[in-house]
Amino acid sequence: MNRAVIATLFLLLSAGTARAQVPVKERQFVYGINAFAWEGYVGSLSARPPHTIYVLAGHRSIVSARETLVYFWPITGEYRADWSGLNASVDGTLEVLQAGRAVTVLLRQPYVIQYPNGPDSGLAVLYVGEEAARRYRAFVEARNQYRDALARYLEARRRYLEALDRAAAARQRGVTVTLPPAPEEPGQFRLFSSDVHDGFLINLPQGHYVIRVRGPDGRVVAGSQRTLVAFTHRREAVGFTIVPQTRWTVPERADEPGSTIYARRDQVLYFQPYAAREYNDLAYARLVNPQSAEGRSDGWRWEYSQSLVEDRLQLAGASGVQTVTGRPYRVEQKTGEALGYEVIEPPAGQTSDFSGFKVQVQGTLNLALLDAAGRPVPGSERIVRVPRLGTAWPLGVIPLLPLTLGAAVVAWRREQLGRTQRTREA
Amino acid sequence: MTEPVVRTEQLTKRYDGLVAVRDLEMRVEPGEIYGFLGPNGAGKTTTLLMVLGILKPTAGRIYLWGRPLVDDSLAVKRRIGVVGEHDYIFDHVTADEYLRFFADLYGVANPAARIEALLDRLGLLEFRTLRARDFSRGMKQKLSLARSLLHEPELLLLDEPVSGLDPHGIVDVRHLLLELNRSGVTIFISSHLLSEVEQTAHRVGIMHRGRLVRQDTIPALRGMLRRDPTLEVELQAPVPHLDAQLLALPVVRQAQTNGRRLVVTVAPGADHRGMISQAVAAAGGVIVGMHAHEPTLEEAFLTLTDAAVERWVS
Amino acid sequence: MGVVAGVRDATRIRSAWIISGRPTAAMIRLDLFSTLTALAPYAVVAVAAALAGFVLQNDLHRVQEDGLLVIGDPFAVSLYGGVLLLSVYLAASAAMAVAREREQGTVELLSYGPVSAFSYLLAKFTSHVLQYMFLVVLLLGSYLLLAVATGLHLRGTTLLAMALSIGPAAAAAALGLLVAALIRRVRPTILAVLGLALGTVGLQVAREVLVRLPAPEFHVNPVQVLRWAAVAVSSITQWLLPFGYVDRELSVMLRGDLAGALSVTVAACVYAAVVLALAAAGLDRTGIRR
Repeated sequence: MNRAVIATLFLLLSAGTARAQVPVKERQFVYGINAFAWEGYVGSLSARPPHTIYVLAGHRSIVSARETLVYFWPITGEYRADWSGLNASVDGTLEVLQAGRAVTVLLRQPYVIQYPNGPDSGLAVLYVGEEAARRYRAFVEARNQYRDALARYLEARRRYLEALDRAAAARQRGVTVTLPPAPEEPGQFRLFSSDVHDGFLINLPQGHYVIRVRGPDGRVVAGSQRTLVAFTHRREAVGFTIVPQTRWTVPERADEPGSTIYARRDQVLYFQPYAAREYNDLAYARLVNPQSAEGRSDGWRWEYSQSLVEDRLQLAGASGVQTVTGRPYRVEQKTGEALGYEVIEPPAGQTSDFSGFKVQVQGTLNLALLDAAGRPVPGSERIVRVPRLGTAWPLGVIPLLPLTLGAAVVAWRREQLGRTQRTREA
Repeated sequence: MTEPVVRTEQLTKRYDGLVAVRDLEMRVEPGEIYGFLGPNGAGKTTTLLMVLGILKPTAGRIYLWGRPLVDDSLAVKRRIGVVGEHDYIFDHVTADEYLRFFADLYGVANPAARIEALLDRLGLLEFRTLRARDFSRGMKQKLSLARSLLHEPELLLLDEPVSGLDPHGIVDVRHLLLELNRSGVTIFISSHLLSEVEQTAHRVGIMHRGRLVRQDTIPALRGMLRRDPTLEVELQAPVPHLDAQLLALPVVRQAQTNGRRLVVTVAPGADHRGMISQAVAAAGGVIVGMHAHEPTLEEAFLTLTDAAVERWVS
Repeated sequence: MGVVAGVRDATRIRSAWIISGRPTAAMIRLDLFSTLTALAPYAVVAVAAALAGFVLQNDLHRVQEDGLLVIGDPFAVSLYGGVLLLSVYLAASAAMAVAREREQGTVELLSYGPVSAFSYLLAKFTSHVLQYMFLVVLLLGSYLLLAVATGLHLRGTTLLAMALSIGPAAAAAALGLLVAALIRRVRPTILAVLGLALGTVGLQVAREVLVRLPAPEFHVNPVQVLRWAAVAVSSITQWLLPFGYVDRELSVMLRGDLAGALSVTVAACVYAAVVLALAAAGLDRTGIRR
């Protein structure tokens, strides 16, 4: 009996993952999504009708109607697209409906997403229409120019190195040779751009919608209907990433405006402020991946967007009010036999590891970010407190106090009754 | 005409297949002591609980002071004092605290004086600060009685009020009840102690298997049994064949000897003690005592309940 | 005419007080006295305070080790545990009081007098709510001492959350009374109340765990089935059982949403009133005799 139960359980558990060795690919309509998220644009896939599309309300996102080969990948439990096998654009217009009524009809447009500071910088710009083509051409041209400059530099550097070798040989013979100037490396080319694709530009107010593609023949393209949720933030504030000097690789976050930061006395903390917005946990998880199995419908999360380290941080404590400016910092390993590292301001010409506002904790501090006009930025207030880290025995004694009170009350009552008993016996 | 304090009409209580009380038509008149008698399982407690509104009747109606019980039952209960079948004493309070609580419950004016007076009257004053749970059974019963009298009720419902009391206690309670009755309190006593009921009640109702088989005054009940008068004679020594000799007399219906005891049933209408005395003396017997036997409530009770059984069986 | 009507109303109110209000007040006083002169409620507060001490000690340890701790409210977890513990105790205490008194015959004794099923239960309910208020004050005192001893800040929202927890606690007391009214004996009553409390908490924990487990939606998966079941059942029990109101009130208040917390408290009070009425009807139906 037990063996049968175990076998059944095993079958059930493996039912979700036991599939054929080669995934079965089906030609299907899908939406490719480039959704605006504060950390750039997030590319994802809505492979099947139940995959609701989530976008941020009031921000521009792109959905592309495509046809591709879709297969289920059991290892991650998701549907994936074999773009290299098939990646066809689907003709038509995008109808956006709400409560059964048409809100808007969108036409396909060319678009490009560019990252001015590189693909890992987070900052991304979406260009659509004519500007997309123009921006892309500019990117290609700038990239080509950089490649040419780099090629020239590399050639110049090769000649320079040869000249250095000849000069060294001549010096050995006692001949003085003037060295040519070292070639200058061209500035780093940071701009990154996607190719020009076509899609539908979505920028909707908060709400639940239904989208579908209507083909040139006037019929709705099979499999193109989706639910689309445009959601917005619940709260807006300033969030902080806090880098403790003693543990700089593991920063903490102080998202909630009302949160308190407890630190040891004399601890040095580096505060990194960001503009922050609070979103529904499930919606944001599905924004990043419509097939996400994580995220709670009753949960909330803070998302950080741009850094605010250019502002000033006001500290109000027992010793008065002071203002701190944000600076770059560099982590240097200690030299010699000493272990550990130190955090310093980087010398000129050296890169920094992070930027922030340096705060030395000496007691309770009220923090607030100041804007350019010197006013506290709403939602940026935090409190730093120093708890008592001494002996723990009071924590064991305090719970005994109500018990002692109860024992005293019971004893008093028993004494009352006992007294009457003694009176009787007397 | 004054309304009865308690009146029931066709009062019935059924539990599944069992009929605990059937078609009860009872009246308790103002100012009387009403004894409610019956063997175990007759339906006395069930009737009491229905009168108190604790059990809902299956059928019939109950009127207290002429008003249906369902109207304003809480206000009516303020006029009733109850000593129930069992001791329901709070575990954790003294006798004084117990009575203070009930005085509070009923809104008794000047509770301290009232409590003191009652405890004194019932001989519990010196035990007032003891935990009620530690009282003897008799003391608990007295405490319950004190509780029931706190608010000076107009009607007292007592279920076995002298249960657990010693003879002094029984007499005390009897005197108290008579005193209360004289001051106008109507008293309803449910009890097994027929002798006590006989000494206190004006009228009794006899329950048997859920029915009220008889409701009447005690003299009337005794009168119901009065057939030919009976003389009980105590002899100095047994006299052989005395019963046969007495049966020869025309006025003697029945004669039975049992050692020195002689029971003679005679014809009604005249005092035949003289004739019997002469006949005993003629037979050689010496009479040391003679008295007429009066039917007791117990005999009436037993007769009625047995008769009820016969009717029920037939 | 207005004066006459006013006098009549005043007489009616006075009469209602004498008939029903005063007996209820007397029972409340006796009940409160007997519960507060026992050790159990103080022991429950001590356990809640010990739990808080343990949690706070953990936080201090983290500050000591990591140098840094960012926390919205250091007393949030302690508060949650403490209020839940007190609510469960309240439900069990109310249930046990009624079940024991019915078994001992005290309820019948009281009903000889001007006490109805409703006024009896109302007295029990009120005395337990008052008891809870007293225990919350004791617990608050413990929290204040712990805040002073640790230097961890006791926030205003925590205090408000404790104050507003009276609503859900009242709902818990009402549930205990309902269970006792329907189940006649002491032991099954206690087991039922504890079962409901632990079941709710267990279901909530299971839901939290299952929701955090990644499970793809688009393929049949036991985790998905279990999660669906846990969410479905807990969404019902959250409204049907008072411990859901405790959870909601605390979560909302600790987030700083006073309006939301007030509405939960009001909902809990409505729940308590409805359940109390059901309990009175239940007691009438099952009978007050032992």
